[in-house]
Amino acid sequence: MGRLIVVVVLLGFVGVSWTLHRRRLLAAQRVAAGDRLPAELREPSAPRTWVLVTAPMCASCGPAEDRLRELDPGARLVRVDASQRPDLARALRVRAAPTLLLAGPDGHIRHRLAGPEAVDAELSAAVRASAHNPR
Amino acid sequence: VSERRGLRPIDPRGPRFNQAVLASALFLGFVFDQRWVMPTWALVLALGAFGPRYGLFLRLYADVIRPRLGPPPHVEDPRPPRFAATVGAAFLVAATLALVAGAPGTAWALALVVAALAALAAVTGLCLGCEVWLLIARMRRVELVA
Repeated sequence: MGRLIVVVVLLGFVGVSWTLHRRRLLAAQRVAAGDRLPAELREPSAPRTWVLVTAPMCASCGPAEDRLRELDPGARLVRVDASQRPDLARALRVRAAPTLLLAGPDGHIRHRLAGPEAVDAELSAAVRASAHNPR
Repeated sequence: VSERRGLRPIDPRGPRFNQAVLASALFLGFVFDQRWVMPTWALVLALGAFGPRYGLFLRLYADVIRPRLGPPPHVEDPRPPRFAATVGAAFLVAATLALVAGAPGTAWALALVVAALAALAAVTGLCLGCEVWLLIARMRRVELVA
């Protein structure tokens, strides 16, 4: 019985760690009101701008870009290497690579996908949503 | 996805399956006081770290389970989970030595650390051993293969 309690406590530790990790991940996905692309990344003539923030050690950035180009071939895509432009990465509140941001012509950010799991899970839905609601 | 120096990206669900079986075996072994799980899994993990084809459950996943699933949503560098398995094997070797030295409490404590981290990785995908490898790789500027 004592041993079973130890196992339950350890599994509880696993659950708590996962909850904390998930909260951090979800906080990184949230789009804050008034989140806008810096002026140098905006393009008023492009209905949709995707910003792909990469890093030199990023394993999933190449596949994420390929997938985005396949799902949304008409959109404008800007790549930002966080190691070359730490100022932009900070301004965009980037905490994971790849981070994908989708903005309208006015630069307002509508979707934020932070990390490979979010890109895997949510990119198709974000592309569909932006196609139905281009502004 | 590129290939470098003969390293091929892997389906990350393989190591997760391995971690799930490992965590279950160690927890059940602890509950029913089956001490043989420690040396057995030290060997299974060490062989799997040597190469996926030598890992019993990695092989089971690749040959039996994977063909029944769809392709993975993304592939990963094989080295982080291999490093994590090596660290896990080292803990289980230490646990086995503690067992031989007549300290079963210490042995189970070491094995339960491995079980908890394997459970965390299997359930959530958060693999602490892999994160350590990535941290070291980042400092040494090692290139990833996936």
